[in-house]
Amino acid sequence: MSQAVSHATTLTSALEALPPFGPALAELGALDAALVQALGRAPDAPLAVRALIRRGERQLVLGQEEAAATFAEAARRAMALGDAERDAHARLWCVRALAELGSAADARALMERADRDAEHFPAIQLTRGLARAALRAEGATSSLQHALTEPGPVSRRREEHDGWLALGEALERDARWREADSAYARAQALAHSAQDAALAARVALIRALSLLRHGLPRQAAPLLNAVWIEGEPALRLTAGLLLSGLALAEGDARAAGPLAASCQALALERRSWLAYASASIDLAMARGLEDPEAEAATLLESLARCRALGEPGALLQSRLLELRGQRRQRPEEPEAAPVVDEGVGGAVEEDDEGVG
Amino acid sequence: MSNTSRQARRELVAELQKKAPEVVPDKKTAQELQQEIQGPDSQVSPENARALASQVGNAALAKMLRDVGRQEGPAIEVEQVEEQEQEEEQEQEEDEGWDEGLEAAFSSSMSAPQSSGQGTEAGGGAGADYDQQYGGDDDAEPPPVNPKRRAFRRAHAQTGFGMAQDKLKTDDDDEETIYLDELPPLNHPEAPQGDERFDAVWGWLQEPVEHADWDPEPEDLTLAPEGLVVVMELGQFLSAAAQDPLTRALGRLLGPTAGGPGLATQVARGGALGTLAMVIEAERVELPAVNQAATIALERDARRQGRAAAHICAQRSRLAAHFIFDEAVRGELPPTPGRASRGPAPGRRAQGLLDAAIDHVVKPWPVRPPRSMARTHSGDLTIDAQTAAFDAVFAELIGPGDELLTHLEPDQLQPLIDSIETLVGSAGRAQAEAACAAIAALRAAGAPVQTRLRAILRAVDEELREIARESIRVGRRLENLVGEPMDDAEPSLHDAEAALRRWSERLLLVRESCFGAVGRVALTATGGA
Repeated sequence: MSQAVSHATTLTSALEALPPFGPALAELGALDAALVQALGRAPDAPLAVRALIRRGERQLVLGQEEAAATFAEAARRAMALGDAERDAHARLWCVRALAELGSAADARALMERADRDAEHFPAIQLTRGLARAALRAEGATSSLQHALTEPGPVSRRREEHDGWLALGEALERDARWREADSAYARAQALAHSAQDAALAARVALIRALSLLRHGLPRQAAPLLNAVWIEGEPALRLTAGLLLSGLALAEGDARAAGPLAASCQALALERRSWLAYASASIDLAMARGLEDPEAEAATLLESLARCRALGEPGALLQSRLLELRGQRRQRPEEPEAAPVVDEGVGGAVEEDDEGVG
Repeated sequence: MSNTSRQARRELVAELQKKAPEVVPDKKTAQELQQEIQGPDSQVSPENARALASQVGNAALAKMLRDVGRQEGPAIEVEQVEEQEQEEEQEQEEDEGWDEGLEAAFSSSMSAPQSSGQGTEAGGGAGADYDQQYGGDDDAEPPPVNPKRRAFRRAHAQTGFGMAQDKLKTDDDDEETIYLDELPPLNHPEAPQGDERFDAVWGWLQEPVEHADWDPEPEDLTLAPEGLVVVMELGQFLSAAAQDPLTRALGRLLGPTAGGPGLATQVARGGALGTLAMVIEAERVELPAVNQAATIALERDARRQGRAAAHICAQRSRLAAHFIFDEAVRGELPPTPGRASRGPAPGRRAQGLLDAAIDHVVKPWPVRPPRSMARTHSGDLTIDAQTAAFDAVFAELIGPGDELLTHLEPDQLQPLIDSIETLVGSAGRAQAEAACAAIAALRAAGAPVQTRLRAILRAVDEELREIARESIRVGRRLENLVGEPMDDAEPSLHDAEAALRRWSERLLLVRESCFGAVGRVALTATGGA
């Protein structure tokens, strides 16, 4: 029996030592299953509470709705054992899980007591800060800042990552851009060190978006480039559209063109028509910077491709109308004047035929 | 407390109120200081700040300074924030007027005999008081309702879709019609697949002429081009309600870009990023729920329309959620072709997002918890804590009153009576809020859900009337207590306070359940639940 308990203890320690980043999630799942079997042979209530908290954390990372129920069960068992710290800890986790599920009212109802009880336990202050941040409660920023300055064990790294991310978001809401960027950078570094490339790409994109909002496109560009290279398709498309827009704003047709063309292909593959329209407009503008006649031609070509798939391409038509408007705004130019006067003038038809 | 001391207290309060204007800040001075702080030659000196803080309060001063600090960021954002704040203020003022009207109408309808939500067209009862108070009459023109056209839905447009879109509205302009001739042929659309399934934003961007402006000036943004408004609205919703931090970050970015190229480019980029944000959110929440939540959130006219319909219903003494709904959607949709089937309940995440979308559209007012009657330690009842403080000062100055309070006086019940009025008013407002939620859901989901939405509203109306009726009953019981010995009245007072708390909580619960049910019904139309 004692051997079984010892085995369960070892498994629980292993479970707690592994931060739940992407690459470790499968391993954590396997450990959890093994622990369930071990506890079945040698039931141990305190170990079960620890295992439940860890399971809830993994479920939360995976976005599973069961996380809240798991933490609630952990809290119930901890309370039965008289373990006030784990009880408060599990309830704080539960608050966060409920808030992330969109059940803010339930989360708030639970938070009041959990927040008060957690005050006495320094080891769970980061969880407390995260619960407050999830509820966007007052004092969340300072509470996270305070908790994150304390060095924690390796197992806490995922929570630290989430903490830096939540802190960055809270600081961004207060327009504290530079501090927000530093917080995001810390989150990104933690994701990198855990070799969770997908998570690192997400944080890099969040950071880039924050820099763009702050009006720092040059600082955002390298981050967007990293996402463009390493990100998942939806993230790549997002980064690509932003990058091609930035390149066009700089008048850099050589950078914008290939990017926009790649985005167009990616959007077409995903049947993401607004992204397709945006990429096609960027591509047309990039080509238009080198050859003004090429812009309308590219738009018409893009329009033909999407209409063949049943997409009307309204925004591409809007851009074509804008081009027409631009041409009309040249009455001062001697050659352009007859176009306006004659309506369907030869010059326009020639232009259109030429580009079509 | 004796009548003499009560009178003396009132005189003192009146005296203080007379003196109050002397300490009220000179607005001009405050404005001057504000200009100094916020002007081009910003002078945020400690003296200025101190002087202004004493006049406008620390919170307002902090906001002003924040605004000054914000100018280091992109200028466009500052303008956006200011515009948004102005709009919010204007909207709030408008709301207050509307709500007061609705509350009055509902309250008077509750005092009418046998109120049941089945108001009659005859004068008197609910409408009479309302009209008298607010100057309306049956022939008066209802407030302008300017519903936006419905968004196109790819899933519902399998036949002949897109043909109308090819005809650009160019009036007598021949030139644009050339493009029509040149447009490549449009193939029949297939069933939505891939990112096509996220058509919440796409549906609003199908009129090419609306989004064509090759050189928009910054001031053109004040005219709120349709495409940009839709994109910004989606951004506001996602940044506040999305469950994925990346979606929230993308939501915060959506909006016009300073010095950007033509309108079509901005709308296309904003719409694309908004749709991709929804795609990312759908990694956590079911796809149909994400799309339907965004579709509901973009029905920004539902609130205004619901309120306008509520105004009309109040005039006709028919202020009930289902009548408001009928009035608002009359003639908008074709006859119901069938009923949407009931599906399993959506997941918790999906429900959370749908609730947030309805909250975003309806912007429900907070329900104030009922007040309690203040009681002194001696068992003496006073109106409120402030008055109790005055009494204490008086007791020190002139000694205790001639006689101790032993019987309940009418003005001592005022906090509870006020709470009852507030509660009945909130129930009236909730009728309009429920109707607004259903209007948004109907416009997002289409005619098949109309019958079910109406059934929800009927149930909500009954619940709300029950709450209002019970609250009024509590009020009547309280009135009967006036003059009773305090000791005898205390248990009944305690019961009344508990009942009001209970009804207030139930009101919140009814509203929450209504929004949840409306969201679920909207989701069934997509086959998502």
